[in-house]
Amino acid sequence: MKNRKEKNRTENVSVRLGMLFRKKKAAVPAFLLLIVLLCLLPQVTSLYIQRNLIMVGFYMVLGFSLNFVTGYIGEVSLGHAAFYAIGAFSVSLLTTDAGMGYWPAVVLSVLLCGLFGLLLAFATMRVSGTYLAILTLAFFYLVMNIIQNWEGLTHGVVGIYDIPAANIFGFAFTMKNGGYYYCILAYVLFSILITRLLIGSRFGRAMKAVREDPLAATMAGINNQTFRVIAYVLAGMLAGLAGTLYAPFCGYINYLTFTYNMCLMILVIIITGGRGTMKGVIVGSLIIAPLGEVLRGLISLFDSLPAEYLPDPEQWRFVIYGLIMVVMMRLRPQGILGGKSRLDYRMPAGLDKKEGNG
Amino acid sequence: MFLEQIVNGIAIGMSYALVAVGYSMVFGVLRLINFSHSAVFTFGAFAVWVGVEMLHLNVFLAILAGVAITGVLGIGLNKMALEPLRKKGETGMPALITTIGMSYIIINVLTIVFGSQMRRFPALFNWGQIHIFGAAIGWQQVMIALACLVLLVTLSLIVNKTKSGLAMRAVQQQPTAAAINGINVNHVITFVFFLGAASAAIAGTLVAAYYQYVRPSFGDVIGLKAFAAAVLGGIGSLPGAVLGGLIVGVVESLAVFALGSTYIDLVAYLVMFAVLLIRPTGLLGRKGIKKV
Amino acid sequence: MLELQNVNTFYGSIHALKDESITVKEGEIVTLIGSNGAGKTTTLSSIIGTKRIKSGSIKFMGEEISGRSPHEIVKRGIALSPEGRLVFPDLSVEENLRIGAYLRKDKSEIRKSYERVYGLFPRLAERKGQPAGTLSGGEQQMLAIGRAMMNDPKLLMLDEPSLGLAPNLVIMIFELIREIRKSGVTILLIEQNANMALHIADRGYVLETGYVKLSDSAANLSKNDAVRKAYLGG
Repeated sequence: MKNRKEKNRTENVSVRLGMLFRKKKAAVPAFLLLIVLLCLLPQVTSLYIQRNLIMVGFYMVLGFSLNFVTGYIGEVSLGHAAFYAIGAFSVSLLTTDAGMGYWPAVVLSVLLCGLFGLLLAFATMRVSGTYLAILTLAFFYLVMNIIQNWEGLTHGVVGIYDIPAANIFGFAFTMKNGGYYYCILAYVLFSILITRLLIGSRFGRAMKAVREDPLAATMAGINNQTFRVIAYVLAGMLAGLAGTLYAPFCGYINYLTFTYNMCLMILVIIITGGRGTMKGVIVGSLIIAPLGEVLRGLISLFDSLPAEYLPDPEQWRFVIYGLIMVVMMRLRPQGILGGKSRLDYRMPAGLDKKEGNG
Repeated sequence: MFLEQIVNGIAIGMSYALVAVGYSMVFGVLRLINFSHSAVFTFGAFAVWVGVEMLHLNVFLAILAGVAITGVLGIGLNKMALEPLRKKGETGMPALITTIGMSYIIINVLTIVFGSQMRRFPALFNWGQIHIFGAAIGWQQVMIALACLVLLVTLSLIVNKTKSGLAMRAVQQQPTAAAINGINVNHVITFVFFLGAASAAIAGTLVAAYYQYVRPSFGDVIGLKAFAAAVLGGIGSLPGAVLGGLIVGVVESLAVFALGSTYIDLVAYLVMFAVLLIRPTGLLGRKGIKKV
Repeated sequence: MLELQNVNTFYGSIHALKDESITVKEGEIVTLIGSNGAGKTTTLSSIIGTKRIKSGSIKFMGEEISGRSPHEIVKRGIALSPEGRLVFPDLSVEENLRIGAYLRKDKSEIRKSYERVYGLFPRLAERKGQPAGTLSGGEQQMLAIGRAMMNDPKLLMLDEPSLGLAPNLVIMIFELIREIRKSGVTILLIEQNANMALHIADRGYVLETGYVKLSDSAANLSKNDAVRKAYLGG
């Protein structure tokens, strides 16, 4: 009897692990090969390319984070950079002013971000749709406003200088030794893992049910508030984790490091790739994150023209993000890789049509 | 000092109300919060600024032209971006993301054209001060409040006394029935976008005159505060928008008085969170539209 | 007057009307009977233009109207009192009626229509200023019919006018439908209450899952065994 249980358990574990690479047998070696290649990449590329790859990595993690909320719950969050900022500021303050070690500071910061995720989930409990989007934007402004003005804690507009490099067992990360690259690569893999586990779990199935038909899901006893809260906490923690690496990567941060543009960029990433899909996040961040650099490169092709006639790649990048949003919604609202069949967002019943009896 | 702050609060609050009305009207007919409204507000202020400072037009002519152009922008937003989505039946998240995208395009094109720095905006009513009860109150504030009041009354007359207004209310309450009685629902929606954008342009002009500057990021915070006002009063309700605007404006001014100006922006956000958590219908809102 | 020929209408992949052909002649009362989901309401939505048809033709007064917007169709003299009444709850009774005449310009003609509607439904005249949402179900039904009459229609389409009403009100509504016909309005009527419908109608169509199953004079239909069994309670 006991043996059988034991056997069941091991089988379960292997099934679970199998689900991580569900598709085809060949997918496992291909995936491992890809990881090996990614690991070798910094050895052969320039620091400039590596830097861009690291930025893609950061946005990939942020994309996975937002995907919990926007992809699986179907709520547009416009304040996601707030978690990124909280993670970054928290780890910086803990490692500088509080003199804490890097990894304990990371753990504390990520927990703090989870707490803020919880807070945001509760504060927005009764709204959805645009109301929610605007509240999350207000949350972003609120957080940034406090970071900007609470001089005693966050050093106000001055920001935090000399953030110690992230390190592992005393081995400090730099660009040269590829520390940041491998760390963000690990975070991306961790994001994929956690998303996979989540989709395969009861949570994933429940979320799918809620998304397809909220009313039926409620009838079936799925408490979508619980799942909603879990999604927000996870999203907060994951974005915060990215922030805890971003701060030492930059070495200096202030309230202007984290902007509304960043919030929108994360959203554009998952819209481009496809809401609620993992491939979508990966492809989206590969396209969107380097866009600024690509534009800069394109514009520099015309460097024979006087500088004042050349467009500013930064601003045009944002216009392009806006256009992507509008055009994608018009032509392919489910994203490049999103499936067609999904019914993902609906007005709550009774809103689109008011009752005749008033 | 106290009285002055109250008057400041009323002036700025009435401007919030004028912006809030735009959110409310569009919400009324489409059940959609037009996220691009704050960008339209900024666009309106810039349109007038161009007329006054670059083309050196007469101020009233500049305002008229700026408001008309902004109204056309509102129509364009609806026709180009939102109407095609409605035809496909995609009214939820795609419509929301489209309005976010439109607002982002407008703001960044403004930044490309005008730069991100502050531009001096003429104080429209720089007529000195009135002294009442020992307080010195600027004509500027009084006139802004009055101008908003006149516009809000006009809007309310349009909604409640004209045939177009009747059609608006009909579409708002029962779109299907409006259509089968021969109301062209798309025309009504276009008209609402025009009205909303035009009033946002006027509000943008007045707020720019109040602070005496304009820049592309100018509407971000004010748009949010106006939305807070609309939510507080009850979205979809015109008197609600006015009440909400006044409360947010006055509370904010008094908060400056009591707490200093550092955290002033937080007041409106906290009000918004509180309202949407405790009473999402707002003060004067109808029950049926609780969750959006 | 109204002629539907081989009309096909879909809701997504659901084929709601299948080659439906229906004719309504001037001055008639024609009724569509059938169970839920037979396609009765879809027929009316297809005529008034809130639902696009996939193929076939709909001619009104000899003119093709399919593919046109509702406001263009309404302007030609068709009015619909919809299922579920759909009055405007926050508008007053009078404003509701005003919307019925939305496309008409002539003020004095509109005034005549008010008088006519208030003559048919004195109750509405008593409640002119009241918000429609505060009316009883029967009064809302009267308002929905009255609103449709305000368009001064040549063809009046009524979708379930007796639904949810007390028996004495049902009789009253049917009396009124007769009276409206007498004033020269052609009527296309949908009813669950097939007994009453066939009683006042000239002709009827029996719809089943999107098909026209039977069409005959109302008198013959009431005698038809299959119809009696399925819709008239034996």
